[in-house]
Amino acid sequence: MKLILTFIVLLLYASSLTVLAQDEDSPGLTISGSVDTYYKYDFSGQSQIGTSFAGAQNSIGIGMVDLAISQTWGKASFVGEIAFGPRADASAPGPVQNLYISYAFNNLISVTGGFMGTFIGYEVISPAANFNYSTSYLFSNGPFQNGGVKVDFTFSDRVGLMLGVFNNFDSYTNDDSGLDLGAQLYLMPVEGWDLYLNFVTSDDSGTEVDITTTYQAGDRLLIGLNAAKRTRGNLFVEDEGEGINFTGVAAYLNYSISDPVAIGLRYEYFHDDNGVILGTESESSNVNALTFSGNIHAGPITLIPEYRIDLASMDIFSTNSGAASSSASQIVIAAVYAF
Amino acid sequence: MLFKYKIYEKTGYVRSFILPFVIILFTGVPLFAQDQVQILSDEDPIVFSMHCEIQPDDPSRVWDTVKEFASLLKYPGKIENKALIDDFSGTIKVQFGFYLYQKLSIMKQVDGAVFADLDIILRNNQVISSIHTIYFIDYIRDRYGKFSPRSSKKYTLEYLRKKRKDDVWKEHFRSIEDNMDLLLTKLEKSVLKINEVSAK
Repeated sequence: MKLILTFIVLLLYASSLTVLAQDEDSPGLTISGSVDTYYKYDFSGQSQIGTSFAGAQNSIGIGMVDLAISQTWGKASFVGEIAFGPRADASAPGPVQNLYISYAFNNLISVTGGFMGTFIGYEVISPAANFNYSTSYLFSNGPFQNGGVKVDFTFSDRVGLMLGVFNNFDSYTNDDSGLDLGAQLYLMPVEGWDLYLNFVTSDDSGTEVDITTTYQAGDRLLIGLNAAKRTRGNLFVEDEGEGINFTGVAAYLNYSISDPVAIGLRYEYFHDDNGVILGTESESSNVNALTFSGNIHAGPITLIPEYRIDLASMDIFSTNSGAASSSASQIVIAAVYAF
Repeated sequence: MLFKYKIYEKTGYVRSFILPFVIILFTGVPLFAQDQVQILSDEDPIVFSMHCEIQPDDPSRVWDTVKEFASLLKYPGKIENKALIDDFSGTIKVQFGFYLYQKLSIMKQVDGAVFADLDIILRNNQVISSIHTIYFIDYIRDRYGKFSPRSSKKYTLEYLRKKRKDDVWKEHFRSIEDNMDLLLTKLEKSVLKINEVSAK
């Protein structure tokens, strides 16, 4: 509570500074963020789909309150983002979600240092930036943040490259001696088609190769794809059977029916190489997950009704009577207020 | 169809940009710089070209660029074939942009950015200017806590007008006008300065 009060005081102080600074032609601070709440009901009577967030069964759950301040002043910029709530607790080692400083030497090169949302993957922590409220297995088992230093090269509007060294995934500090090496190649083959080839590796964190791409096909249809493979690292792993090893692909189709209403489908195939993620005791297993979501916008509020069904290759779920089952389904109704 | 901007004399009356700009706003049609460039003949002693990309929310860098351009005129030795300043011809290609903000935010939330490509051609103390592309890019708050393009898709301003509510569009339109006015005011001063240097 003390931390929250301190943050609010700092925020108010920053706001007053903004007013003063604007008098001196400063660009001012940008404050943004979101709050989210949801209701979830898993038809088995218990929460059992093992992806991130929204874990409360048959109750009004809360996500997080997320506040970000940022500023770009000439060639320098910073972002400080802090969040509280179950979603925040499950996504970062502490309340800080982003804390970094950037400097653009010119139009070609910029350097960023600090703690940043990961460059890996399609989905993000903030519910305001995802179409679906529940998350994919690929997102849930990939990194959430990378703390470190990166250099971005912007060769043109169509080609960019990021190279960086990072702490272990999702950590404010480096938990061991080895640093992660990360890279992202951005390509825009045609206007509206964005392609990211991502790579991160170290002995301790393991290696993840990721492709994330979107194509805006006209004004109404967005097509997205995420494919990734991750192999285990040494950190917290004592024998060969432990550690995260997976391969997966997720496809997204979002269609805007009208200005305030859009519908979306996510299909994901996820293969757990050694059963660590899906809990199949060293046996490889896989799951196919289908998620249908709506986005209904009313000013700053987005209402997200959602139905999800997961079909696994083994009986990793259970039915309402407690019998083992290879499928699970749930509904979610979420409200996200973004500002 | 060729769309020509007024050819300015020494006074550099660049505010005449505004009328064609407003026309562009409602047509959303990319324009016509190629025809303008053809005005420069092969006999021109120099065609100096400078390309400057301006980051969103930073139109003041246009001013810096033009000042740099003007400083080159002060020192003709920097120009390769050392032509006389009176015969100097040059083109500044400027891409500039600025954010459009949503009113819903506590302070400001980026709704998107408007980018425009501008050519400023100088020849024998005359200035010809043109806006030849202008487009909107939709922004979203990204995983890094910053506002960044939702995708690389470029939209016309006509699309923006249709997709936003009337009051939002009016706010955006006023913002576009204000930013253009700021840019053009600074350009006007810089053109005056360039012409002063050229006349010496």
